[in-house]
Amino acid sequence: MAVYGQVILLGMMLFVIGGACVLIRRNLIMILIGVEIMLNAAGIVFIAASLRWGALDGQAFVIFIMAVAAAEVAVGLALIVYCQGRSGSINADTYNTLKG
Amino acid sequence: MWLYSLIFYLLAAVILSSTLLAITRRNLVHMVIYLIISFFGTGLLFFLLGAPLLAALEVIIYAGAIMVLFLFIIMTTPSEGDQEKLKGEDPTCQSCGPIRLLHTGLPILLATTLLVVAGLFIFADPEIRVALNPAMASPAVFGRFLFERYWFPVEVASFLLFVGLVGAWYLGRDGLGAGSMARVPQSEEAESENRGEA
Amino acid sequence: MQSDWIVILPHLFLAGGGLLIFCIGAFWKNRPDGTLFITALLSAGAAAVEALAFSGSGTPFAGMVSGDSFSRFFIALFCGISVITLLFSRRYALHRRFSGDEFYGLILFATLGMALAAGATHWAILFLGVELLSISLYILIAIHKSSQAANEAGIKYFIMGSAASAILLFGIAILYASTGEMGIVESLNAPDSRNPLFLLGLGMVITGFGFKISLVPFHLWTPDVYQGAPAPVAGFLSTGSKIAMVAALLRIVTGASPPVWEVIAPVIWTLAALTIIVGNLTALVQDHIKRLLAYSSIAQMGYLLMALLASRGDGAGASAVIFYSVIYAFMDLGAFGAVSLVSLGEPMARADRDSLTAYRGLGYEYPFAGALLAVSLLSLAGLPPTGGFIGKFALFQAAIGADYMAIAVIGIIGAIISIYYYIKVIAVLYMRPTRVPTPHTFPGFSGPVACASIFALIVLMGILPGSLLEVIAVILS
Repeated sequence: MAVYGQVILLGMMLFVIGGACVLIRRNLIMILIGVEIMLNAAGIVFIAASLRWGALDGQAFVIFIMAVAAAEVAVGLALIVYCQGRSGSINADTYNTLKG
Repeated sequence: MWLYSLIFYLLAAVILSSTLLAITRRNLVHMVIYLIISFFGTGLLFFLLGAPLLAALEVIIYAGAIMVLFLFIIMTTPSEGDQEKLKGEDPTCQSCGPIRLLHTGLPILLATTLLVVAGLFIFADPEIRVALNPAMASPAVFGRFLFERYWFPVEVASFLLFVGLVGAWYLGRDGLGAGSMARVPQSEEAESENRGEA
Repeated sequence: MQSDWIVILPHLFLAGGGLLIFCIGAFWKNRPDGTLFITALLSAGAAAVEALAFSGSGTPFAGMVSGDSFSRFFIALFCGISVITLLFSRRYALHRRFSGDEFYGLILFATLGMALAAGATHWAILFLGVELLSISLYILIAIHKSSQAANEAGIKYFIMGSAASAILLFGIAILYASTGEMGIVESLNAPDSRNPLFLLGLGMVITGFGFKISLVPFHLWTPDVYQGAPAPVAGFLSTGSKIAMVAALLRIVTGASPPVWEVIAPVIWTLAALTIIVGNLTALVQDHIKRLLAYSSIAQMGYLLMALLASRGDGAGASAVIFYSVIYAFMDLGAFGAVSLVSLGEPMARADRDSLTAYRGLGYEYPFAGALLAVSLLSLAGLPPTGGFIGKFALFQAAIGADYMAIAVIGIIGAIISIYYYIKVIAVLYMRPTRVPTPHTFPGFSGPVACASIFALIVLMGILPGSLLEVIAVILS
């Protein structure tokens, strides 16, 4: 079986990939996807830790992550579609009218 | 034991490569397909790490519900994915090479640095090198644990989903406004209030 | 078992009130005017009274939430914030046509999220409370559907907020991976505090908090979001959500073991210093009132963080933090509330009155709202005889008393700089207007009631702070 640290490192790598997606991509849908990848990475770490400590708390937390991810995606996509209907763009750079 | 390790490394390779491919796609439908592969791999990883119920939920919720929602939105909104410019990437500007490099290169550099530092951090810890022993929490045991110890957070999570529902309904409701007051759906209370004042 | 339920009774009132509002909105079509508004006020009020009147004890439901007087005090404060927000937004929402059941229900759910985050003793509840608060706020910010600016602010807050939540969540995951504990205090009392994995998790948790409280360098979203959001919602955002996170941070700071505190303290010191300096200096050059208030709220969080450093030990710092949180809540709500009152008559009912030039001579045009804005700004500047003066005094005294001299000096210099930009706004308010003003009065009772209560609270806490300080001393003992 794999070593504990390797599973954590896998989670960390996925988290960084998701974070890079949030930073680099300009498409709002891709930014939301990046956040989903980050949440999923946390789930992997929780499950590995749950196995490591022999307690089910980590697994219980993953259920809540899934609920949060679902709610966030529902609101986020609704917000994106709504903005897209108004301004005709899902590019994050078009949302820059608020300036000092 | 070596079989478990082999499966883990295979899964890790599949998850990482498909996620990397997903975030670099310009065609959003391809992105969704790569991501579904990645979530299936994660589901198998969950099974390997002793969480069969969560493995099923991962496939049902992440690879199923969430990705289908994304696909639905991608299909219904006019896509500009193929024309998407990365940050700082401007086709009209010929001499923007350094700026482009700064805008896309810097996050990648930061991410790599963070990853290396994190890797050093993780493996500097001797505790971390313990091998994980295979174990399995059956769905019945896990369900009982969840509703005995964690029923209160479960209730809070249900409120969270309710708020998500309300938000999606409110924002997605008819009449996008398009800037005109007349097309904005009025709440009944506002209408009745306005009548009362008139 | 009985006392377990008493602990979450305020939460039940807030949740039940929110559900009731949605039921009324869906099924009672020809209801009298203001049913939803009154229902929301009554639920928040009932929750506040319940939190203050009944004492639970312990940490019920397997250590999920805390029933101590600390969390009950904060629940009452959050209910007060939501009541004042509701009063200010009543006419504003009617005028801009978003006063449906969503608005009132989501305010109550956001308050529930704050109550959970401030009272959590378990990472799961902390995370879920923060998420409940954030998701409600994403919708509340974008709730004015015909406003382009609100729309954009909603998207910006959503992107920053969800990324911050993911960072916080990953931090929690790493902390659990390294300690195997899910309780907040238990996981921060790790035997090996120099464990690198533990430090990584702690750093990510603090980063997540930094985004949510908008500390420098995680503050870049704040001015845009405050400028675009409807003014009452911006007030709610800048008080409620930040104070909830500060309360959670206070629990972390007081609960951490000494070796862990040695690691956290320099980080908080740096964040506080940066936040005070950058917040105040950037506020100097703003010419939009909502952006100015945004930077001012960033700087105020820096002062709170400074006293947080001193909150271990004899409790002077913790008491100062709680006292200033209460005063900050009311003066910031007052400032944003005044902006929302004077924006009521804006043509097209889209944007708020925002540019500083539009405030010229406003004190004559709107005597009450102008006075409220002036008093709130004086209090934010920390000038006597307002509550802000006593609060700032307590903060600096606590920091100096705990031997944090350098940061206290930075704070005092920042506070002196800040007087300039607050006074600048007050001077604009009472400048000779360009045209002859016609004094306005506000229809309805909710705006004036909110004005009068904030006015009274700010002055009262400036003159007679003793009773509140006694209450706080009881909480901390």
